[in-house]
Amino acid sequence: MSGIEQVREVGPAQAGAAESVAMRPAARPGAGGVQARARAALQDEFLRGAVRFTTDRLRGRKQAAAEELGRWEEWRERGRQIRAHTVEHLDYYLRQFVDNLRAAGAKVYFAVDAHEAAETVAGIVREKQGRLVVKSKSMVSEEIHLNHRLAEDGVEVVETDLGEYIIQLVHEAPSHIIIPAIHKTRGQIRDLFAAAGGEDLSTETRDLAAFARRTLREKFLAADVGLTGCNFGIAETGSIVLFTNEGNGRMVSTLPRTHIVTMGMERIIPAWADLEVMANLLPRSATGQKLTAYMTVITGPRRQGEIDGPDELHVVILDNGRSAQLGDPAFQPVLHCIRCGACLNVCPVYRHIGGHAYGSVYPGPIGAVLSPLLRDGEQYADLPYASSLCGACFEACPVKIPLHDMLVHLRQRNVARGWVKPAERAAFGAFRAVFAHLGRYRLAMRAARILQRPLVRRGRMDARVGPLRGWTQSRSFPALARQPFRERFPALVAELGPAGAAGMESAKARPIGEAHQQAAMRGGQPNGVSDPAGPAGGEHRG
Amino acid sequence: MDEAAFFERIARRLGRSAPLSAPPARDAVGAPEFWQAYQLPEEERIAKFCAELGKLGGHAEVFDSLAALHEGLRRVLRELGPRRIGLVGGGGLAAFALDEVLAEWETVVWPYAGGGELSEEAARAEVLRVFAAADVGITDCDWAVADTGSIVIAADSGRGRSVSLLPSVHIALIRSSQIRTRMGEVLAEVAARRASGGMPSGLFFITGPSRSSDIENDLTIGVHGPAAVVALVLRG
Repeated sequence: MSGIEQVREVGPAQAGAAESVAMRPAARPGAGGVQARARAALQDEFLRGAVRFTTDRLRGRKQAAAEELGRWEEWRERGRQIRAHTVEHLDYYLRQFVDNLRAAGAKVYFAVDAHEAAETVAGIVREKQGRLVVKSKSMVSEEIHLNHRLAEDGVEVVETDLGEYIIQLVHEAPSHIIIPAIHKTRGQIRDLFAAAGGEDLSTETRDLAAFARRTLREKFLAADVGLTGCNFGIAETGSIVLFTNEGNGRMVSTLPRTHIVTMGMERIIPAWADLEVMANLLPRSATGQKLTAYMTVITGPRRQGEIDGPDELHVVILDNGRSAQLGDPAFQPVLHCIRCGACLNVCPVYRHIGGHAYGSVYPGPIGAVLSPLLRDGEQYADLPYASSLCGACFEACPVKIPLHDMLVHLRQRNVARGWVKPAERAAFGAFRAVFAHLGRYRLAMRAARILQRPLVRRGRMDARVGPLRGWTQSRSFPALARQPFRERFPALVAELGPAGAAGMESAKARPIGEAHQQAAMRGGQPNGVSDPAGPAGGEHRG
Repeated sequence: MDEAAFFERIARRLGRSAPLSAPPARDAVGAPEFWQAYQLPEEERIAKFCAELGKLGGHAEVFDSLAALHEGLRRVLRELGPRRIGLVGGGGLAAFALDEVLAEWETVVWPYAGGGELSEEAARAEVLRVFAAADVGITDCDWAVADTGSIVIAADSGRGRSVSLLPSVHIALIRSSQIRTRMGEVLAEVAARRASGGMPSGLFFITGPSRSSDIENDLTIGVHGPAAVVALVLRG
């Protein structure tokens, strides 16, 4: 409760500042790099406060909900098994899903990329002479920029999820997978609703929600086409599962004559029995709820004799870079994702910079992995660096996707492709040249011990200048020891006696481990301090 | 995109020359075994269902006889004071014999046929308009889930999907024998209908009132769906 009060106090005072961020071009996808956008977001105090407040609550509720269910690790493992099995046999289960969809009376379309998917949906809407489309939340529709495409045809598209409706009024993209308007204050929302025709509204949540209910109820009843995503497709019956809290998903799939579903091709589970696992993992991980208010399972359009429900069900299945992850041991598990947003809520980077700074449809750790994979190229190549590699995302993931490992693999991929800054390339070139030859290494270390002197205070460097300032201006860097380990080594061997010396020899013969190279790529691990797989660590252990 | 090419690409990436056509063997299906063994006796099931729905801001009451349920329904309706009540058609609700209880209110029964000589399209719009203007929707249900406090309704011709969705208040009449311990039991019973071709076009798990936390994470009730959910449970 105190938390809510806090945000209310901050709200009106900071509204102007938050507004200016919304208008800032940096908040739009693609502008500048992730660092520039992060810097802009970090300057916005309200945004930081709001994001932290909500992610704290979501994280806390998730933990409570997981504890209440009990044996969370067993549920997680089962979730991982189901998703891994499905993706591993996606050709079979997607085929089964599509055949059963058709048997239930749905029309199925396949889209290789975002453009084709948007064109396909636009084509269906045109054929149905749709003028008004109501939408429930769908990340895939964001991915294919569907609203933009439909607007080109003069079709009115109305987002009906309360958060999506709010950000649609200011022409922004969602900044969180689950809470799209996480960055908006109630004062801003009141002003937006006033501009949309809501006169004399207070900033009370109840009043604001009531205005949205009145306005959107008319749209639901008047719409020609309803558009939804798909949380899960059940292969054994060709059923579409939707999880919503507001009821807009039910409205959109019940009232218009035509229902169009857009879905990623990997969103399949084999059987109804598996839905129980997903229903226990998804809402808990997303909002800490035991179950969302509505879980809807749709199997085909309405049947003979039914009055409400759509006449036609169209399902557009999207690849858009997903199939390229199949068969790749490093990245295939990214397709296990169930889009819960739990990794956002625990990510120290997301919690500081918010969703827009990622500049991609999918923010947070999952976005930093998914966006550069789905759109291979330099556009999102810097996102894998928006992470401290702490692994909190993996801990939070209900299907155990090793996101932090994938971030390292993506950085490796960037290096292999030469997508690195000239300074970084020069630094690693020098690293290789120096560390490959003992003589050069000794010479370099001797020089470094002399050069570091002006920067060292009590065995550490905290300098705001110098070549290491990217690290040392906010953290300490250990100074090189006066006498290097290699020079102390003969004396240490003598102290240990013959048995110890034999162990030392075998340890020295061990090749430099791959883990050490990875640590070097992270760029942060001081040599041998916390990395037992490195050569120095190996000698210590011996 | 060409469908065959779409599937061939997936198969190729997975290291297969052609898409897999035989069902793959599975070793982990559905919930963990300890959960599948979770079973509450009937009295505990009823109590758990009522408690879980209560936690979500819903209201549940249990009655020993039909007469007591009638009395309970009358009390709830008098408190609400609806101008119009929408009811699902079909045998499930009829078995609760509500005519006498509802006599003092204006009611419409799904599918409402009061539109006269209308085209199918116009008749549908008229039905939806009428039910959107009802204050209370009364439905029966197919199942309820104790673990989550969910009411489960399958679409069929007598039961409009809209009756449990459009009115501000949803009242569900439930027989205690319909309450299962876990969601998985309901899913298994639905999946079993597949063989007989009896999959419902829509299956709705309704768990408490409509809710949103999209405005500053402040919970608000009744955004699009009903703002109140009342479950009246009849033993037997």
